[in-house]
Amino acid sequence: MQNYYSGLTISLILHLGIVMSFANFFQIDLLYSVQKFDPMPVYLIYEKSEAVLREKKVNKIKKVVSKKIIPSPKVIQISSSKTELVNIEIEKTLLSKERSQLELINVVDEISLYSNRIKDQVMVNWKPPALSNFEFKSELIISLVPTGEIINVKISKGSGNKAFDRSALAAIEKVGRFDNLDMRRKLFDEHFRNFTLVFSPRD
Amino acid sequence: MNFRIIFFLFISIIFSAATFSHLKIEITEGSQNPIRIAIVPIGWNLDNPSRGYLHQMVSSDLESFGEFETLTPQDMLSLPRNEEEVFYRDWKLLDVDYLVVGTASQGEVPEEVSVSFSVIDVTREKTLRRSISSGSINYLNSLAHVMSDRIYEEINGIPGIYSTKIIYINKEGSSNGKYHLRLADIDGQNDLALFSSYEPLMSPDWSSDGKKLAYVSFEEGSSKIYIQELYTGNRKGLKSEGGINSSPNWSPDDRYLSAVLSKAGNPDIYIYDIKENSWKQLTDHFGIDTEPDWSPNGKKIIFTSNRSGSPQIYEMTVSNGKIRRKTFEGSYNARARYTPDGKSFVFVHRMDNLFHIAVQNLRTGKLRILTDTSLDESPTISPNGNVIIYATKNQGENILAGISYNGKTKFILPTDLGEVREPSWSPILKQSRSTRLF
Repeated sequence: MQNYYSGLTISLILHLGIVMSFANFFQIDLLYSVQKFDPMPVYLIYEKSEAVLREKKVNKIKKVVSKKIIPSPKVIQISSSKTELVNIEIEKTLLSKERSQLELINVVDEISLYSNRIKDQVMVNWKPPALSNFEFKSELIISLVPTGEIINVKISKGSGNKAFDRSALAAIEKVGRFDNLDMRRKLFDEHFRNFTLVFSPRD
Repeated sequence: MNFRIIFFLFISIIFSAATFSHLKIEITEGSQNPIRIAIVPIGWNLDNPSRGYLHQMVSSDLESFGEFETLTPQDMLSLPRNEEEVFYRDWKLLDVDYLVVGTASQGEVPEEVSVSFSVIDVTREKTLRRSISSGSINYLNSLAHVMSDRIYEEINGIPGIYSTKIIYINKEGSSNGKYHLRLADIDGQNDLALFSSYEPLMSPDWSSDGKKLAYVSFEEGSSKIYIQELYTGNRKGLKSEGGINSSPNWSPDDRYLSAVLSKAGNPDIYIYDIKENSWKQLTDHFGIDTEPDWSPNGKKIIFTSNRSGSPQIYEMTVSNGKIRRKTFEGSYNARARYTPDGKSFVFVHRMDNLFHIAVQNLRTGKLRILTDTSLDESPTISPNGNVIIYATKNQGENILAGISYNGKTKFILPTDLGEVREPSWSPILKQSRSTRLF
């Protein structure tokens, strides 16, 4: 009997997991995909220059703070107008939503900025073997410390060609330490402490 | 209790999958600089003085297709003879990627030189390979080719081609000059006539084991296909069928030849069974079908046909006879040869009335023009797929030229023999003169 229940529970949990991931409950791809956002805020953001955008963000945060203060004399206002309070609440949620989206976009920007810096430093040091077959691909897992120093390299998916894999390892060895990775600690811990480098030359 | 552990495990698996938003960075391009390799002068522990410098021959081999950049001994900070004498710092300072050190000593028989050498990865401070290659002291050049092959193979992961050969057709300068079937190193050196005739010779092709050649000769007045053994010189004419007999091409297992016969009126592709000594018709079309080539796995044959009105490349599945057209760009595409991986083919492509060598991917159909010369014909591809040699015209003279598959390096094979055409590249020839120790 016990076996029956455990089997059922496992299957239920698995199905739940699948359904949840279909419903995008975990939001795995949200971080990496700009298309997932509502079109409106993205459109606005691309219209303005970055400097303006930053200012706007700061203003909005201030507003939120000031509006948070307003509800403190609640006692007086409750009787006068309930609707206003509701409005404030709605505005508050809208603002916080917008803010979180802004933050997300910044994270995407930051990730791509530092990814490109890493990419450039690897490219300069990589000498792929001369192969007529352009479909080789190997994946390396890189472990960094916050200074950018590479502390561990591991081939997670070999290309099948020993020389090709070796050229990728040699490139990492030559880099030794990634420069200009002056990022927030949280971003580093979440994305750059361990990441995958894919070596796949294109024709 | 057990059940709870399983429950917990699955919950944790699901949530770890959810938080596993792993960053992937893709590198699609490497540095444009060639690989830097230093061939340190080989230590010479023989009584006989050497007539050449092995390290120079190996260096010039490795530089010939633009894949490597070599250092001269004058640039080197130290000249180690073995692994123990290597100071990695010296070589890292010079930005060297790979290093070759070695010593030559007397072989087991007189006149034999034995070179023991190591290929070292400077970046990772590791010896990749130790080998002993032996050869005659009188042919240091071919010993150098063998060493270059081993070094190339270790670094690039595909076989080196420095000791492969080409055969080609050569016609003496004068109008009634002789035709020769010639064998040469891929740098044009060590030239040798295998067969000569006053009547035309055409379309030579290597067997897959590298021991036999097939070609067309007009010595009996009409075209006939001959098979010649490379090492004995024995030749045998195939049963002639009247009309055109042309374009022989060996199957990968050397049991069949595909060729073109016109006994049914117009040229079609046939297969010749060498054991049975019989012909079997493969294509049957009122257009001209010609220039067949077997795919490396032997399942398909690629050929040129004008069935659509202009010459185009078609591919046929041998087992069921299904034919598919492969080229659609341009009004002249001919003389296709598969690349060794069987994924692409090189061929002659006409663009703006100029004939170029081009390569096309069989799956994607993507076409890339390789050469910028104008009257290119009969491409043949190296057995490792990295270099193509073809016939072309230079200032009105027929010559052989070469280009690397990536299109970056071009070269010309020097000859003073008159007209040269229809090159065919040998497979990797088996050699027992090199032993890998590590």
